[in-house]
Amino acid sequence: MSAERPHITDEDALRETAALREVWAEPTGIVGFFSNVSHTAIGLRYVVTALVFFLLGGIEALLMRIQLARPENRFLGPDQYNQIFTVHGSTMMFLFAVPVMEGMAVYLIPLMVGTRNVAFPRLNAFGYYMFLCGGLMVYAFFFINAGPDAGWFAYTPLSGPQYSPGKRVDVWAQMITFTEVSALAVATELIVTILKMRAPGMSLNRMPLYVWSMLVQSFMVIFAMPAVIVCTTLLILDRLVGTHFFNPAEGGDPLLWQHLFWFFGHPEVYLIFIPALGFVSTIVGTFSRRRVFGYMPLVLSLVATAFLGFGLWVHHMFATGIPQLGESYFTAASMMIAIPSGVQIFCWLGTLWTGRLRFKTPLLFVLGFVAIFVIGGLSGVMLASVPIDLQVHDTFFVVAHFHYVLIGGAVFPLFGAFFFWFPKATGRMMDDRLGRVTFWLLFVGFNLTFFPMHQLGLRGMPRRVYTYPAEMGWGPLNLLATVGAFVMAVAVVLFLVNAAMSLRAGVVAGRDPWAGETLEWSIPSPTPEYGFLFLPTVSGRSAMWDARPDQPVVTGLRNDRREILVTNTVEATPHHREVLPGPTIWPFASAVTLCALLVASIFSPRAVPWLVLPVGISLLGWFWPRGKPPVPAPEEHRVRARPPRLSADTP
Amino acid sequence: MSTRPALDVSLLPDSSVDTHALIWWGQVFMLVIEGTVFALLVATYFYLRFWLPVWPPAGADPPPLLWPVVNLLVLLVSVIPIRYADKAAEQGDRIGSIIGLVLGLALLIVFLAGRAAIWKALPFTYSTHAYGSIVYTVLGAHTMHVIACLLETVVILVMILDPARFHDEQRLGVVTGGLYWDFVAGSWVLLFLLLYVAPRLL
Amino acid sequence: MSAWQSALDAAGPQAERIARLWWVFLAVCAAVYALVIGFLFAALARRRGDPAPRPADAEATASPTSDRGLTRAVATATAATALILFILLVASVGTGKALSEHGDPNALYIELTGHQWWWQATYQDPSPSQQFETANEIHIPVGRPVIFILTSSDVIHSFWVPNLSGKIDLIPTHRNTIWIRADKPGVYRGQCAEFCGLQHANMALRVVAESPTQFEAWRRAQVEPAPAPDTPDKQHGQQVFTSLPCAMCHTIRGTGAGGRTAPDLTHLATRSTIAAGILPNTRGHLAGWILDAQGVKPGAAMPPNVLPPDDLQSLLDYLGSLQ
Repeated sequence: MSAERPHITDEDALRETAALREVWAEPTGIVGFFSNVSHTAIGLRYVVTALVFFLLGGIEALLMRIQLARPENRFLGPDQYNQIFTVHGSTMMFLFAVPVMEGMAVYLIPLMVGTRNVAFPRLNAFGYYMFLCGGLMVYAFFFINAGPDAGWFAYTPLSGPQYSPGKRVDVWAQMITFTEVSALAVATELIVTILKMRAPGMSLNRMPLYVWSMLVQSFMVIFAMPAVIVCTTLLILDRLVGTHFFNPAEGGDPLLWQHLFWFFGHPEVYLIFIPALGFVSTIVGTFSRRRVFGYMPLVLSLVATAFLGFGLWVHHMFATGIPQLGESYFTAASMMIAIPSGVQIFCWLGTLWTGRLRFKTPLLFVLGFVAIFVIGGLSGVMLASVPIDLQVHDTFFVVAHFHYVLIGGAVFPLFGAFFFWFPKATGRMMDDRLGRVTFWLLFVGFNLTFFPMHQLGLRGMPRRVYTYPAEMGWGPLNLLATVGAFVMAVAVVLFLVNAAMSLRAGVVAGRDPWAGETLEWSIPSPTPEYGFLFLPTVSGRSAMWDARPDQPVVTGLRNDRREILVTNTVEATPHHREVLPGPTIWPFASAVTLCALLVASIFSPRAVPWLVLPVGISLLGWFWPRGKPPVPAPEEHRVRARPPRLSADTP
Repeated sequence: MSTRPALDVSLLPDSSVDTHALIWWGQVFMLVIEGTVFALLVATYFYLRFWLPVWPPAGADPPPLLWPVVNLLVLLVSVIPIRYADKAAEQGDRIGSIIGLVLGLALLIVFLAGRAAIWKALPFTYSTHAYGSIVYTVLGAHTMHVIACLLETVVILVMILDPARFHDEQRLGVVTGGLYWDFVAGSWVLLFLLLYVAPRLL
Repeated sequence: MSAWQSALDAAGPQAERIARLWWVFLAVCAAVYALVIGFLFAALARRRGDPAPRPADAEATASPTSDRGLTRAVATATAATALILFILLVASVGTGKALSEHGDPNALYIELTGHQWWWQATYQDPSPSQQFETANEIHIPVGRPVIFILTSSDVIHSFWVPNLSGKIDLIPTHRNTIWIRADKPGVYRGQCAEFCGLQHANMALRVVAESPTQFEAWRRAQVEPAPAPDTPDKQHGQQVFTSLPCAMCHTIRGTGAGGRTAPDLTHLATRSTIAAGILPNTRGHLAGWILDAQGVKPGAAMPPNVLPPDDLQSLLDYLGSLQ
């Protein structure tokens, strides 16, 4: 009976390994480095680059904390301080938080859905270089004292041509262009990868929860990022060309900026937070050694959060004089979004309650997430109330709130994710004991830094102030916060030391050190260039735990070119095969030429027609058809099951 | 020697020229993004409109409808040969694709010329007032898409002039280019209403 | 709880209502947090995993029947969350409504215009001759509602006196309103609460709440033009004032100085602070401000002034006479 079922042998596997290694190899050398289109390489570059920006943003935070540690301090002058807090916020939001989540997804999603690369590998590379260029641009200007200084959200008219002369705000606005092009590129490719390239058998309701979170987040990116493109473009037009969108003297309105910006800005924080929820679901499941309780409610909560997240933006504008009816609606909506968040927390608590827990570092970070994020969520409910908001808006209370939700809600799960997936990416375990010390230092340091800020806000300390009078009595709490900040810095350094040491001398991890649920744990660590030797199929929600003893693998893909399987959207039944592009320099060239265009356009609109040409040439190089038309494959270029299938349209 | 069960996909087609192709989906999402940009510009238009007491401001009346309507019709008509080119591409008919693309391109160039003339004749600029700013920005954004669509079509046309190149990738290029064309035309219907009809009604 | 600029030390009904709402929210949120953390600890204490788990431990448990109990627990918790949020919503909206009504026809109207980085206050009155302008220090009568009409001449600022009420933005070409009432006499510090540029940190103001009689006395004095200098020294001081660029920006009613871009100095000597609440209004600080405002508030529009010591003393004498 079994001899009649299609099957392959070890010999087939060997043949396939050799062939795939060759076809999926990424080039070396300098040109090769910039031609790389492998999702693992690009994903890791995203993560490492984002972490560098995280460190820079952290240093900016320490500088601010030193300045604020004492009243009437003269460590930083107002201009330096204003640049530093602007660059800190912009770095953390645009150059760290979103890109690091994107990078983790670019690395993990193809592995989790069972394919070999993202749907658009060249777009992926392009997006990374755009992100890198944008970050370099902003820091180049910052280091020559021409950094943006109007806050990370640059309210008009302060950021307009009259009150922010020079190029500082233009640099900020153009950085946004880079980073949102990058985010949109990743979102598009992730959606198409998730919907069209899943392993056969991975129907929508069998997708891992992390994949759901990235699908939801990517849709949010698609609808939220355009708002910030629009408002920064309008701002650049006002500043450089003389339009009047935000100029009240000629029919514009300063509040238009706020509406457009926050229509993006509120979903933005969910763009950062939702992937972290995916991390939490993954880690809770694996370290409770049971399937996460409440798959459906968790998925629906993600979707509900995404939808609701678009309807809250005016809660950033309660002090601007909006009508009371509007205020009440946005209060209600802002409170309501706590419900899906709550559902998720309850489901995870239920999972932990009934699981057999393993207290490793990733789980510790997830527990830290619960303890910290819930405080942030509750202070968010307070901020949703208009009367309370009118007292604490634009004070350190808000600073406390958003650090609780962003660091608690995103950074803690991210660190957990690093400890969890480091073995997969590098083949080595991070040191768990050092990880625990790191966690406690970060947890204590964080609370020491930010909890006093709730108090400071209630006691009247506004945001974005480079100093404060001694008579206010805010000194002691500020000093405490500064001490906490340095404790956090030690924790981050410890983490880096851990990573460096483990890279060189960590315990060898093997394929599946955590007994994980998802497909990435079925392939070697570090992952081979081709990912899966044979693409997997899936029989349940936990690909690994639900795998049948005779779980089939996919055969019949050609191994002389980069072929992957495209499946149907809902049921993931195989539909056709497609060839993905291999290494190419054109995405890098396109990003660099586009960078030149965007930077030059800050200085003169006349640069645009000239610099469009190199961009056009790069794009032509990118899209020009590659190679000769395909010929039918001689049979040695694919491993086929024996006996071969007779028809291709039954799963 | 051990064996593993296998699901063999070697008999599946190795490309797709329709809505299952990855690039088709990529194009769709790019258009969703651009559509969202347009939606936000429309929202901005209405926001400014309800902020200004006189709309349009004095001296900025919308132009007479004749030429804008003619130009709109030119654009809508150009969708027909492009549709034809799409169908031809899906069926592997290279000559049919070429004819369709050339006709569509000709009409698009006429449209662009018409747009340039109408735009130049507007009695205000982007720096006259906020109304001028939003009108010029909407026109500019849409025109950028018209030009990009034109360039994309030219490139595809050049590629398929060589019969050896007319295989699936280019056929798919024709189809996705058609999607972009639909977007350019469809969005213009809405934006036309916004720029030329709405100021008369509001 | 420190009183100075604290939202929790209310001196009027607006801040009072908000503070009460805050305590309700704090109590509810603290209770919720305690519950969540309690359940978290209980969950952790319940099941301890193996200290040294075997790798490749594929013993994944199928969903136990306790999952039905979990469903009920999660559903209950979710319902409780929704209920609590609804109660908080009602409390919030109720407070919001109460904040908007003062129902007193006898309000005092003050138009407040924000500048980078000072506050311009124009006291309104039905008869134009009773209107007057001052800057950075606002007096109000205790027990009577004051309606502020707020706008800005440049960028967005925010008017915030925490002891008295929540904040409201000053936006160019917009006119926002807020009413406050002080129920206790006192001096309340406020501060700009919307980032407005280089000296946003140093844009403070004082609200002085005094008895109706004291307020009336103050108001009548403010309506008058500046007292004429009565000694040669002060006259010389006035000359110094008009010969320097001062008059280009500042107004002193009753003299030729009519500049509109800087604080009105007609009754400068009645104010307790200068430089928008940053420096005490003493002779020494005033001298330092006149000579080198940039040293105190770099980026402020006030240029440094070079003048011989005698002139400076006369000027200070003159300014000190502007009661």
